[in-house]
Amino acid sequence: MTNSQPATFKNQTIQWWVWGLLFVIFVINVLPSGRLLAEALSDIAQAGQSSFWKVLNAPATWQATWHSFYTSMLATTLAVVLGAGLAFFIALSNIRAKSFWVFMFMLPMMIPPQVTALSWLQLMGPGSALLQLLGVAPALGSPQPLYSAWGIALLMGIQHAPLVFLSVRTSLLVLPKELIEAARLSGASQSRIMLDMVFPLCKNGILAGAAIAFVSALGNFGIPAMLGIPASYYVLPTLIYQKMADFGPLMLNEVSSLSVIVGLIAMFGVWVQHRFQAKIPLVGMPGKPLAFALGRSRIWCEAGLALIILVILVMPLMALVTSSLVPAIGVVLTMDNLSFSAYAQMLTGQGVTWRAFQNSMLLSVGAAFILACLALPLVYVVVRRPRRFYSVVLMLIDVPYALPGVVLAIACILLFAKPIPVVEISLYGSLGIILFAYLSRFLTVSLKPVHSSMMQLDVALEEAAQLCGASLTRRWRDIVFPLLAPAAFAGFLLVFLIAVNELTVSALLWSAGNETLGVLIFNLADGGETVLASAVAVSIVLMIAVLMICLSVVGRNLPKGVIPWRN
Amino acid sequence: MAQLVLENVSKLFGSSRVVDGLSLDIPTGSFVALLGPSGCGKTTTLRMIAGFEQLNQGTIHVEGRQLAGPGLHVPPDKRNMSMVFQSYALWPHMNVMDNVGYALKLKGIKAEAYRQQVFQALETVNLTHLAERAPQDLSGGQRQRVALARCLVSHPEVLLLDEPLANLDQHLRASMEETFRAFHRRTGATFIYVTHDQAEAMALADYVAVMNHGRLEQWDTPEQLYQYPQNTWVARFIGQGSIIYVRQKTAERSLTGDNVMQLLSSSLGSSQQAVLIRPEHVRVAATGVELQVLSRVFKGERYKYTGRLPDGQEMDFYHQGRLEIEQNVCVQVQQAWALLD
Repeated sequence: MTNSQPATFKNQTIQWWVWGLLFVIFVINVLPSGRLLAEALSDIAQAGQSSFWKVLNAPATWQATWHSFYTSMLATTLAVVLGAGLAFFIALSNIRAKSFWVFMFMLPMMIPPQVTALSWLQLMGPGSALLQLLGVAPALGSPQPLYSAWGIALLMGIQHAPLVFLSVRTSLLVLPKELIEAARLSGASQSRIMLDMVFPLCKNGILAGAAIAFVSALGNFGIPAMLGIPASYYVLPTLIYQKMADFGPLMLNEVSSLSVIVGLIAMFGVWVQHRFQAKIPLVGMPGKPLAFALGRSRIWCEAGLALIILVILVMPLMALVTSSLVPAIGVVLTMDNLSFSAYAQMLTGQGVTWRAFQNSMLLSVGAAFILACLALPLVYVVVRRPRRFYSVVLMLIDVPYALPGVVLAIACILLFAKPIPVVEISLYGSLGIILFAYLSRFLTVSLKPVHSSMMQLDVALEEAAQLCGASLTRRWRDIVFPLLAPAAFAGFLLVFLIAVNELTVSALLWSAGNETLGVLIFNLADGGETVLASAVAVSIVLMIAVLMICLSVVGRNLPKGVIPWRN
Repeated sequence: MAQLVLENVSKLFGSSRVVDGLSLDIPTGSFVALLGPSGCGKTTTLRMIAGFEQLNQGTIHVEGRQLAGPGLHVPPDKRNMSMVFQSYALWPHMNVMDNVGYALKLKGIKAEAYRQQVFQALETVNLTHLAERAPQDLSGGQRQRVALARCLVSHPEVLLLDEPLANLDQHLRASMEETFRAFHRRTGATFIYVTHDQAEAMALADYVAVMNHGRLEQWDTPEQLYQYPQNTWVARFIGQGSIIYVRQKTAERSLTGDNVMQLLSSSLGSSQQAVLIRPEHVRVAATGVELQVLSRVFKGERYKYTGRLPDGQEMDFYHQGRLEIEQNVCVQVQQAWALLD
């Protein structure tokens, strides 16, 4: 009898397929960042002449860094006030239809930033079809108020508030009710309980949420590109983009150095977030969550919530819909001149719209599928045959998602500027490079649900099958796969949802014929074709809402935390 | 006729010896309990027998066939053993019937033969009416019985049970114990039952292996274990009783009432020899050793008291009548057992 299928591999060598898997992970997750670092540091020996030194000496760098910090800080402040406030409100009170409010408040996070920017641009400013309809539009020729640092900060704050909301809400949901009841029996009033119990216990949640919001704002490209570039207000991601757009590969060396700086700032933010995410150990079972009774004021609180949703979500989207229906920009919309020509054009005419749709579909479905296939075995190996260095692997997988998209895009350009050695295939200028970047960026998105599902999978289920005589492949087919499949599918949908609208990475990697939906909206808006851009954006928002509902349905049987907007 | 043989088995996790030189000869068809406090290595031992853990040292044989040893490890799927897990480990995506029949499916048994064997197994645990249910829709006791039926269907030589009653409430335990006993009679398989509950072990097993810190403390029938524990640790772990230290070494281990009374009255207050005195062997009498009552617990049919001997050592005893705290009484000890260390 040979040692063919032992249950634990602790004393075993890693098998060939695990090495293969780890190699693929290395290529898609570590190689790009490594290549970027190498490029930025390649001429460091030249000291004063090195690109790093040049970048550090350029006033534009420092100005953009200041702009980035300024807008990100403002946005984070807004996100914390909005996100934490609503989290307290929704998680701790007895308002009705909580899952509806959570869903509505999550939607701004899932809407791509360029669509957010476009819809707010349609809402404000002299050209606003909605304001014209209401007769309160500013005079023609007056400046668009959103083309400013405050505009960027406002929109990024709204976009990233859900991140703070999620983080705070999670820390509130695990607060056991008994804890508060014990405080009340000790004689604490409602406000003392908030001050002495609830706030200290969820402080880390707020700080972690603020850190994610800051990192996300720092890496946000869509909003500062749509609002900042027209006003020549550059932040770090848009500065990199503009340099690449203006000078092309000539600037690669300098741009790499710039990217490394952005990357380092982002990594610092991620480190802060991880530090605060370390939970306060709660003693005892999480009992029923808290719910303070609002009494008679409940209806007013609900009305207030509805008003907030109206302002941050419904009104901009209404403006977007209105803009997509006008015959031409600047025309006042009435029932008579309502026009669906933009939608018709989107579906039939204009090869580029249809092509971009196809490209984005192909890329997102492809990436989501490949990533699900990678995530399943990877998660199994990491959970069932733990080794110390796997925790490093899991951390490295997070890096490309935490890096600003522009940085990852530069890294991919560097990696594929020359044809791949040995096989002599050039990915540069093809859909392949975008697919590669998506695989790199979204592996962690695909992995998380499968990982938490796997962590909850009792090892005894497999052992019971093994005692029945099932081999490893049989156990995989009959036990592990069916039980992980819902989580893998949720991961698939999440990746698809994010990738199909992705702009930041593809903005630098696209080429003629290889546009994505995100790039298309950006280009259309940039080229003044606002009506068509709005129509495409409206379709995208609809698609997102439908997908999110699908995910909620799929997520019903999944472990907690897999679907962000579900309990 | 010892047929499941563990010889000098050791298991290391890192540098700690979880199981340390364990040897057991388990007769075919017996019901054996591995008993010990948590962390004593009993579950690891069970998992080594099943093949989920590899040995660092020693060998395991079944019916003369070697399963594990240096350079050899028969995987669990080739050992013809079954296991009832603490969490039951029922596959949530299969219904009761598919759970029970999975081993048959793997053996290629199909159609009528499959149905017949599955239902036979379900019948023995009275669950035929739930064949189509999902495991999640069953009560704890029903899940336990499905897990048993799943083990029964593959006719294992050895059935391993890992704290199977730990997740059930008190009144279900008694009826499940009866099910296990009936099951053991019917199958004739060797049962190895891991538990930390001595009452469970005593009630079920033919033999009990008492483990502590990865070592075997004692291997005996439940009766022998109760009456003649090897050492003070086992004596403290099994049953109720007081360990009293006396000055003189005893020649005999089994002490009569006269022996004990003489030891107690003449040579208290030293630590030459440990003696185990069970509370049921202490009688309140007109004369004897004097005790001051320290605590009283009402047990329904009688009271359990703890009293203090003149030298300060404490002794438990039962008595029908109610005694007051701090009252002085005299007791006679009817028998005792001298412990080796």
